[in-house]
Amino acid sequence: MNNQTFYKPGDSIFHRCDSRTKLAIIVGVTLLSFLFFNPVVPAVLSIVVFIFNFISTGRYAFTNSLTKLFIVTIFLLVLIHGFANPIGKTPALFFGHEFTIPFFGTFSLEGAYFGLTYGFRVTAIALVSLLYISTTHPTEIVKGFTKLGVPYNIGFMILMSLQLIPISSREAQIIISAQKARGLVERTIWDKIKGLVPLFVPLVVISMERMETMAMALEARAFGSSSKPTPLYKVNFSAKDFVIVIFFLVISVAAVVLRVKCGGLNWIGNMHGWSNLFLPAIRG
Amino acid sequence: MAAVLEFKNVNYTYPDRKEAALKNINFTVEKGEFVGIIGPNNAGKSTICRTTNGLIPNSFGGELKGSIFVNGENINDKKTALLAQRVGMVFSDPEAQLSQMSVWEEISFGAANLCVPKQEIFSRLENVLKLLKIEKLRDRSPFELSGGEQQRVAIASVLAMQPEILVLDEPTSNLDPQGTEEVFAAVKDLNKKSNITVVIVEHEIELLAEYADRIIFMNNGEIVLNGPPSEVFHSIDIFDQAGMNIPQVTETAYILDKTYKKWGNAPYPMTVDEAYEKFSAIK
Ligand SMILES: Nc1ncnc2c1ncn2[C@@H]1O[C@H](COP(=O)(O)OP(=O)(O)OP(=O)(O)O)[C@@H](O)[C@H]1O
Ligand SMILES: [Mg+2]
Repeated sequence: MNNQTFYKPGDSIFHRCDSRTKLAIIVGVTLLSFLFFNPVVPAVLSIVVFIFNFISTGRYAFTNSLTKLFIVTIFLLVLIHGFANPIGKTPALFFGHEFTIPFFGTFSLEGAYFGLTYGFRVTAIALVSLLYISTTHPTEIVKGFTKLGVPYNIGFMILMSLQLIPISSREAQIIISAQKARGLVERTIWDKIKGLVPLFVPLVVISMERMETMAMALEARAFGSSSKPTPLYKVNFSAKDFVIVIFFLVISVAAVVLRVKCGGLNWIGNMHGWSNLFLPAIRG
Repeated sequence: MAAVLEFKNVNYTYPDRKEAALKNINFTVEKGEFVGIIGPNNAGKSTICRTTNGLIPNSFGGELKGSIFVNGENINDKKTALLAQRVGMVFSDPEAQLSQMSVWEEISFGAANLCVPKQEIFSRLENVLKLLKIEKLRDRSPFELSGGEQQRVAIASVLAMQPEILVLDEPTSNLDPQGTEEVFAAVKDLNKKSNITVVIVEHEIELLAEYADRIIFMNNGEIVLNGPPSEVFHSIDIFDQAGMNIPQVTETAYILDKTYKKWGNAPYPMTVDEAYEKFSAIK
């Protein structure tokens, strides 16, 4: 639609599948990343979901702000937990030396393990959410919710407000350039704040007019005259949706069974060196 | 000929307003007519449009007196949704009217809200796509189109409800010249080829002069002039007082007439072609 939303039009498998299928993927990935307490599972999930993103939106999988933000987040979590998490016992060796920040602590393997686990968990969930919002048109998102039982009118109103955001911010851009053309200077922060006033008044007026038109146009097309408008799709849920949902269901069930039988696959109590971050130590 | 739309002694005041927005409005629109409404700002043009499909008084409130008939049936106290399928309305802001994911869903939206069966909706869809020459836009997002295309989608989306009359409130005022030309050509086609009755508020006077069967000139909530374009544009003083323009060729003829007494009795021209003929006659 435009650069104010995450949505990127396309024709990938994820664009074509039902929005409820994508919600199921989100639930599956969230469950899987929280079932086990080690960095490997959420890291693998993050990479897989990143590949999904790359398949569906190509370069946007790298360039979007969310992916960048979460790479930084992983790094920060590892740093903070590595130095400060009281769980830390085994110092990590950097070329044979421990690394200590005075009053803060020594960088520990357990802390790093902890930080990586949480970092990859939130990253996997963020990336799978990105997959959802970048391949699903806002209308389709709302329709998905209506199909899951949210009332039609409420879903529609959410949708209309979503659409107002990009339109309004484009309008704001136009007003700002118009005012700069008339000599509005923005050198200091104070200038910027003062500049908001002449921006706001026309923006509010325009938005009010626009909402009036929106409401009128909806009424003029009999919106709300029936709570059950004619459905225009046959079945949205196709064979590929079934395959995807069943695939995630099977993996999730298998993971739950594994969790019950073997516990959380947690080896934080048995750390000896850097390699143990991603590989449990061989017994002995 | 039967009147498709009739206003009888209509008066209307918006809530919390002292002055009436419509004062004693009387006019009729016949089947298949192309009627243009013109007038300065705040004349009451939009207000007239809103009364035809019940937005006034249903959504705006206020006091509406007098009677409005659509195909002989009094529509006072009818619900907007019921009137939606009888009076199709198009507004000036193209984006604010569109809400769906694709052009075809946009066009089907109104008919679906009226619970028209799906097969019927799809056959109407094909039909209006062709009428407005937007078959190619079918699967595009309405928000990625040019203004002229968006406006044609908006027109198609109300036509799919098969209204008895099409009312357009300044459909070209947000468009560039090319979009304006596109939309006007489309509306003219609908009127001339498909015999759809059109009431259009428009400030492109040149275009109205060429296409409209009749022009209604409003000022201060009243109808000041109502007649064929040649007659209406002859009352140049009234336009002057209201600060409105008339077609440039008409004004030229007026000046020739008044200043140089070089005109005679013929009506003033309104289009460039007419002007060419008549101007070459005077030597
Ligand atoms: N929603 C409203 N509430 C109150 N008063 C209104 C409302 N809309 C219009 N009016 C008033 O009613 C009168 C007629 O307005 P209307 O919008 O019909 O004029 P218009 O001819 O369409 O003008 P324009 O060329 O600016 O669109 C004006 O005095 C206006 O201020
Ligand atoms: Mg108006």
